[in-house]
Amino acid sequence: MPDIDILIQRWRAGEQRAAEALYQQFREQVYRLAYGLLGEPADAEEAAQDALSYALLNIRRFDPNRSSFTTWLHTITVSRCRNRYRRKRSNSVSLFTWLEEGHDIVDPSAAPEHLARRREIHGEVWKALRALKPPLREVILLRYWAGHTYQEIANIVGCPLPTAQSRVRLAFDQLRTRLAPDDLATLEEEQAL
Amino acid sequence: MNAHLTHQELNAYIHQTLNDAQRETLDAHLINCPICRAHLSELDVLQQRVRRELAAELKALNVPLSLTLEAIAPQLKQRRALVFRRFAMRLTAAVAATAAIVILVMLVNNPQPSPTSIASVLTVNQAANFSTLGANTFADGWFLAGTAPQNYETGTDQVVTHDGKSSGYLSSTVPSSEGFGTWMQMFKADDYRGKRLRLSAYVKAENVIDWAGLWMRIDGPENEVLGFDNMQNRPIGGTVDWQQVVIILDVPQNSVDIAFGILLQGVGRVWIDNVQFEVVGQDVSTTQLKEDTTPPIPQPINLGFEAGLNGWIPESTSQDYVTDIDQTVAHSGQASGHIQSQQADPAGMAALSQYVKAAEYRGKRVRITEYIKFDGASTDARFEVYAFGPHNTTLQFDSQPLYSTAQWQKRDTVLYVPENSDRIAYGVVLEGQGQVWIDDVQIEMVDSQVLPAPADRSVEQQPTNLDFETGSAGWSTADSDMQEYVSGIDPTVAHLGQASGSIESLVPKPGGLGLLRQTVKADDYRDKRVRVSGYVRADRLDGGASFLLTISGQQDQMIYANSRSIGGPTNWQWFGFVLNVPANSDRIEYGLALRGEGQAWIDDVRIEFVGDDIETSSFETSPIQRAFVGPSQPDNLDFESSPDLQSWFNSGNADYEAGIDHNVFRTGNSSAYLKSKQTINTGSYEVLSQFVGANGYRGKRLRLSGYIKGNQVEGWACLWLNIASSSNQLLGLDNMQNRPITGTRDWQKYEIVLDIPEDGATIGLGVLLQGKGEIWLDDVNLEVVGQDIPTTNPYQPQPLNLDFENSN
Repeated sequence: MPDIDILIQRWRAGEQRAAEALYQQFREQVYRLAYGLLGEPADAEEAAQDALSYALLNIRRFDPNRSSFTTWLHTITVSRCRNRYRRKRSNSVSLFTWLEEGHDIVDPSAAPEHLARRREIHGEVWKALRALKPPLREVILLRYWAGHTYQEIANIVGCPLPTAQSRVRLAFDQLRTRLAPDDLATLEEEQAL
Repeated sequence: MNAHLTHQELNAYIHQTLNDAQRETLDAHLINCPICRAHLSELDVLQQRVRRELAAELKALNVPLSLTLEAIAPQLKQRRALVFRRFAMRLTAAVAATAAIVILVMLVNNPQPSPTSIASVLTVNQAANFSTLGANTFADGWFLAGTAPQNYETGTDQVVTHDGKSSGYLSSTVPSSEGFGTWMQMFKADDYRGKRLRLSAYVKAENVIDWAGLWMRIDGPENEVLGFDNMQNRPIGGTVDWQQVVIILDVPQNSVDIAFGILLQGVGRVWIDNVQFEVVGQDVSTTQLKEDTTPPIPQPINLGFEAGLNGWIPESTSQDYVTDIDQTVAHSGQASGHIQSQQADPAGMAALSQYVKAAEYRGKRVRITEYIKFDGASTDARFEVYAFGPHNTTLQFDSQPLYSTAQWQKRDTVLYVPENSDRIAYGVVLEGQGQVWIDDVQIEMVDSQVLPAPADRSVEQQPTNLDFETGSAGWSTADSDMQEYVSGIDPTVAHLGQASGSIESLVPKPGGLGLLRQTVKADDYRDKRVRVSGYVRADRLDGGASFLLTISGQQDQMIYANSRSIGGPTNWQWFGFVLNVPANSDRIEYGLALRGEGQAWIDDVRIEFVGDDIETSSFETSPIQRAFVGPSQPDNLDFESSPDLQSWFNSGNADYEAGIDHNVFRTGNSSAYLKSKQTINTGSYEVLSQFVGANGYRGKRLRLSGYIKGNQVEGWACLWLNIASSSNQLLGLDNMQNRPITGTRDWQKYEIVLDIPEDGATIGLGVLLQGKGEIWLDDVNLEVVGQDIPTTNPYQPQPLNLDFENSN
C-alpha cells in the first residue's frame, strides 16, 4: 500500500499520478460509506464522486496535524451525504435548512436504470441500519464499519465527544431493539428475577 | 450483592465509554453476577454481529465502474483562481520582470474557461492573447498576431530563401515597438497525441534589437497550456544568417490543439523557412521552458527599508528606471525604497515588490498597508498586492492608483489569500516619468470583512443598513459546509451608493451554500401587505444565486418562503415578493444565497407597505436552469424592438456601457452599441449575447452574420458564436481570433460558420469588445447553410504551407 502521506505531498505538488493513486486508494471506501449512509447506489455514487473530487481539489485544506486523511475524507463524505438526505426530508424550520433541502433548485431524481440496480437481498443488520435516523446511522457506520475513535466520530459528525459517545450507544440500542426483540425480553425477565 | 447492572451501564461498558472508576465498579459486579455477564455477552455478540454484517454487506457491494477519476479529471487540472478572469491581463503588467517574461506570461497564461457560456467566448483567444490581426496575411495557414501586430508586417520573400522559391518573413514597420508580433498557425493535435514532437525551422535575422524566437504551445481540453517553449532562454538577436532552430515538446494524450510560429519582440526582421514537424523518440530531450517565478522569502522582512533592499525585488520592463534606497526620504526611520525614471519619457514600467510564501496566510484575509509618496503628475503609479497560485497564476489582486502629492499616502487593502496560493506579493509600480517612494509596510491578518457566523446573528427590530452603506451592520452570514464561502461588504461594487453585500465561493466545487441575510421582527408588518425587494448581481456562477424571503413563527416553524434564482453573469437584476404577512409571524428573514462557485452581490433591499391593488407573488419558486430552457430562435436581431436591447444580455461590466443608438445604424432606426469607459486597457471585456436552444440546429452548419462598425478599438472586437453541451462544456467556438476587428472601421459584414454537434445544447451568439473603443452592431442573422460553405473554425486539421511555397 502506497504511503498516503507521500501521495498527498506529491499531489499537493501537482503530480497528477498521485491524485490518481489517492483516488484509487479511497474510491471504494468512500463509495461504501456513502452507500451505507444513503442506501441508494446512484445517490451514493454521486456523493462519493463529490466527496472524492472535493478532497482532491481542496487537498490544501487538509491539515495532517488536525486529523488523519481518512478522517478528513469521511468528514467530507458524511457532509456530502447529509446534503443529500436533507434535501429529501420535508419538514423544515429555518431558511437555511429550507435552502439546503434544495427548495430553490430542481433536484433530478435518480434515473430509472439506477433504481433497477437496487439490490433486494440484505441482511438483518442492514435493514435495521436503514431504519435508523441519519445521525444514528452515521455513527454506527463510523464506529462499527470504519472503526473510528469517538473523538474522530465527534470531529466527523461535528459534535462534542460525549455526544458522539452517547449517540453511538443510543444507535446501538436501537439496532438491538430491532434485531433481537425476543431475546431482549428474555434477558430483561432474567434480570428481573 | 448489588442490584443488577442497568442496560445503560452495560451498554456504556461494551462501548468503552466509562471512566476507570465506573468500569471497576461494574467489573466488581460482573465477576459475581452470571446474569449480567450473560447480558453483557449478548451485547458483545450483537456488537460483533453488527461489525461483521456491515463489513460483509458493504464488501459485497459492487462499486460502480463509472466511479472513476476520469469523470473528474478535468477539474483536477491546474485550476485557475475563481477570480482569475478579471485580472488576467493585469498579470502581465505587474509580474513581468523582463520583456521575455511578459511574453512567456502572455503565451502561457490563458484562463480556464468558466462554465458559463459567455466566459467561454474569450478562452481560445486568450490562450494566445493575440489581440490584433493585421490585414497582410500572405501565405496559406499563417496569420499575424501578437501584442502589437499593428507594428509588424508579414509576407513571403522570393529573394531571401533558405530553400525553394520563397521564405516567410516577419518585420517591424515602425522605428520602435514595445510589444511583439508573431506569425503563427494552429492545428489539431490528433496525429501527435502521446508523442514527442520536434518542430524545426530555419531562421535568419536582421537587426533584431530585442529578440526573436520560434515557439510552440500545446493546449489541453480546457485551453490550459500543456507544453510551451518560445526560445526565450536562447533568443535570436542581432543579425544572423540562416540557422536551424528546434523546439521539442511532449504532446500529452489529452492535447487538443497545437500552436506554433515565429515571434519578434521589438524591431528587426526575421525570415523563416523549411518548417518541419517530426515525431522523435523519448531519448531526445524536450526544450520545455521551466517556470520562471520569483522565489518567495519565508516571511515579510525589512518592511521599513532600513536594511537596504534586502527582501525586496526590483523589477523593470526597460532600462529607463532605477530602483534603490533613498537615505534622504523616509516615512519613519532613515530610508525608504525608491523607484525613479531615468529619462523624460521612459519605456515600460518598474516595480519594487516583496514576494512572500503564502503558507501562513492561506485561507485568511491579510491587510497590507504601505506608506507611499509619489511625484509624477501625469504618470501612473500604483499600490499593488497579489496572491499567486501554481504556475504564476494570479488568484487575487488589488491595485490602487496613487496621486502625485508631496505627502506620504497611506494605502491599504485586504487581500484574501486562497488555499492554493503559493506566494503573496506587495509593492509599488511606477509607469512613466517620475519617482515613487515606499516605506513602513505592514502585513496583518484580519477578519473584519467577514460577517458573523449564524450563532452570533441577531434579530433586528427594524430593517437596517439595507443599502450596505454602513458596513455589515444588521447582516449575518452562514456557510453550511466547511467554510466554502465568504460573505462581506464589497466596497467596489454597488447598485447605488458605494458598496454592496457580497458572497464569494472560496474553494472549487463547494458543496454547500453561502448566505447573507438579515432577520427582523415581524411586529411592524403583521397582517399587512408588504413588498420585499432587492437587487442581485452575479458573476461566474456555476450554480445559482437566489434572492430569498422567509417568515417564521414563534416556534421556528416556517410559514412563508419564496426565492428567485439567477444563473450566469448578470447585471443588477431586481427581485421582489409581495405578500400578506401572516398574523402568526414572528420574524422575517431576507437576503442572498449562493450555491456553487462564483460571486453574487445584493444591494438596495427594500421593505415597503403596498396597497391591496398590488397582487401577491405566487409561492412557486423558480428553478435554477440546470438544463437550458430558452428560445429556439434568436430575437431582435435588428435592434429595432422595444424595450431597448430586448432579448440581449450583457454581463454588466462597469467598465463598459451597452445600449441602443438611434443616431448610428445600418438599417432601420437603431443599432446596438458597446462602449468602453476605461481610460487604460484593463483587459476586461463586455459582450452582447443571446442564447438559443440547439435543438433545431443539431447536425447542421450554422452561419452567424452581423454588421459591425468600430471606433478606435484598441484591443479586440468580434462577432462570436459558441456551442455548449448540456453540462455547459464548450463544444465549438469561433470568436474571430484570427481576424479580430480593431481600429476604426465603417459598417462591415462579418461571418462565422460552425457545425453544431449532435450533443450541442445551447448556442450562444453576439459581439464582444475587449479593451478601449466603441462598436456598433446591426442586422444580425443566424441561418442554416449547406456543407458547401466552409466553416470558419480557426483550427485547421494539419499545419499548412510550411515551406512558404503556396502564396496567395
